[in-house]
Amino acid sequence: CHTSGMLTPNGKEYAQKIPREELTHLILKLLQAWKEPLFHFNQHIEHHQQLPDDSLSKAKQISNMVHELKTGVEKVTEKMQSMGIISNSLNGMASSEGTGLSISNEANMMSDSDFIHCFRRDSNKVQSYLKILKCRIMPENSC
Amino acid sequence: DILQWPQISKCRSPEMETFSCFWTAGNFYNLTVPRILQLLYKKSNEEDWKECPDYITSGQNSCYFNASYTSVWTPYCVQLASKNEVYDKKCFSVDEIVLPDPPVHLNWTLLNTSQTGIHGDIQVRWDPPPTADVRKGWITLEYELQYKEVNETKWKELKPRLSTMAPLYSLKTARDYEIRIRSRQRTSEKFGEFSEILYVSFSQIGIGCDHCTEEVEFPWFLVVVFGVCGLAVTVISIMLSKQPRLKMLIFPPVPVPKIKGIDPDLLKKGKLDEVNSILACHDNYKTQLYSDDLWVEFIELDIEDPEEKNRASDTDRLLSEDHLKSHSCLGTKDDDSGRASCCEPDIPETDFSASDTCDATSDSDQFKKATEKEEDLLCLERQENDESLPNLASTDPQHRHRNTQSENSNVWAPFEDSIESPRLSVHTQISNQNSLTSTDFYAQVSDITPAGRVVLSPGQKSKLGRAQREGCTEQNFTMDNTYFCEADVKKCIAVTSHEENEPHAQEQGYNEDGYFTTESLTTTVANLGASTAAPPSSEMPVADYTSIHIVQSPQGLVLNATALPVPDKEFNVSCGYVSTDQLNKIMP
Repeated sequence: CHTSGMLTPNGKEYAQKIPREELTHLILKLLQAWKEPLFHFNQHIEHHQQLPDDSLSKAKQISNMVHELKTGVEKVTEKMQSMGIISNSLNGMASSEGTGLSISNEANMMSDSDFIHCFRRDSNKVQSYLKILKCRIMPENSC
Repeated sequence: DILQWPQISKCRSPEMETFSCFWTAGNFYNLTVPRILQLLYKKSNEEDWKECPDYITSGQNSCYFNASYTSVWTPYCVQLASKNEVYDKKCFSVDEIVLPDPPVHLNWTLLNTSQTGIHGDIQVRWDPPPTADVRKGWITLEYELQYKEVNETKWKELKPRLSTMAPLYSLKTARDYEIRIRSRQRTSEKFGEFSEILYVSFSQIGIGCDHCTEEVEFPWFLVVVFGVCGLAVTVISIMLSKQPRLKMLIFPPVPVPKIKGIDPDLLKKGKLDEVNSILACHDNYKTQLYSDDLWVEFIELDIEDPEEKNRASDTDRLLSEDHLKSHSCLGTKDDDSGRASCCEPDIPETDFSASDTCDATSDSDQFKKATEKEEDLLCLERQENDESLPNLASTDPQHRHRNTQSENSNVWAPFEDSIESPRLSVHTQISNQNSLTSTDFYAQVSDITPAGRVVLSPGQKSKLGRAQREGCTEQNFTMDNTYFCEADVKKCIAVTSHEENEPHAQEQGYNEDGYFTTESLTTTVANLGASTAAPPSSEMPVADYTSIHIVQSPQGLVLNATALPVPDKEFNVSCGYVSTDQLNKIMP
């Protein structure tokens, strides 16, 4: 997977330990990393005549969901920063932009099944991180 | 026996924090020295195989990897090997092998029971597996509930749900049920193990219905309801479709005012020609409805039609025929011709003459006589015809006995009034006018009985005619809507007409809708006296006439003794009659 190089917590304890800013940053980074590859993938499978229309529409739907999720997380991040829950230290996404370019290049070389496998894994990551982040933002939950 | 190699049966993670691998040993033991199987594992980014850290926690032939050894999204490979041989190998990542533990703490509560107590609803609750950290959201679980009756074999399933409670509806209280639940990770497809079975027994809480009958009862209520509906539908369809008699029996038709053969629209549109023609075909209705219409017809036709000869001939014909018929029955004319022209929108006057019968007492006949007389009344003659007068005069006594039904004296009544005396004089005057035509003779209506019969007075014309001949030539009549002002006419009238037109003591005429009959007019005149009878600007007091004070409706007239309030100077004040338009201008 093209996102294998990213250092992400692989366990619940790690996810609980790292600072929230970092967790947020990681989430956004992951979502950003998949924006381009998804776009290319959709273009790629459109020419597939063997695929049923449901798959094509599902792929487009997933791309949209990822984009919306990224937008939502950005908004939540801004809100958190304005409320002082997290600091503004990691605002710059320039580094992720750069890695994003190289990441997308790698993504183009993957096969379709690997692509889907990697995407499934990373989406699972994002879901778990978001759940932990949500738990950590609200202090009443003993996270 | 088949030789079975040791193999890894499965690896699972119950909560995505730890995982375990299980294997089977195979049946090698009997043959050789008991081998020691090892499970080696390796992460994808490592080179060396490591041995299982814990062979005990998960039981025999298992390897347990605790949280420190678990990297969730990291690909692992495990292999089952003895010292030299590798028997099995598996590669996976932890997030793919998540199979949650079964839910715990199942319980049920009664929601409600049916009225009969045969069925009941329950709510089943449970707790998520304790190992899964659902509270922090590290893992999200779905639950599937299955239930069945105790002595059944097949389980019924509910849809997987995220909540830890589920209702079960319409369970039979007489039976016991079994419930089990299993869970899976939301993003996975495989379910974990089933929970322990929960037993549901209604009798435990005292609701069980031991002696309840089976539910296969005949649904009497439904039968009754649908039967009634079907019956109603059938009855309605029958009634509406085919059986007019039945329909009339149940829904008697409400009679609406209607004349057979007459289209109500014709009456509404006011097409009197057609109505008259249709009515002429129906003898019964001639007398009733023709009176006014014929007056209209006669009036309009006579005035509009400048032909003298026809009128003269018609009136002559009418008079002569009438005279003849009164004495000797000429027999019926050609009825066909009469009938033929009857249904055409033609001048009905000819019809009457043609279809005259010998029955002098018939209503139609009388009516015809009366209408002829009306025609005589209303027709204005350009030329004098003294010969016709005695004819008319002779026939007047006969007419006096004739009855006609004229129930509606409408706006034409005053017209008739005005025409009574001055007709002979008028015809000399009118001859100067274009719009007036003339007939040969006139008869004065002296009386209208309450029954609506016109009583004609004889011998009026000669006096009037003689009297008027002198001074009325230069009169200027205002011609409004074919009316001519009686006042102007009255000026030409001899005073002698006064005695002839004595107002009879009449009963009150009809006062329908603001109408005034001639007799009421005369009565009013009588009551008012000679002074008021005369129109204000006229030098000739005529007892039978009075001026119109007001027009209440398009058909109504109110006669007034006082002067006509005419603010508008353009009115000819002497004119006792105003048209509806003029009145509209006057009235607010």
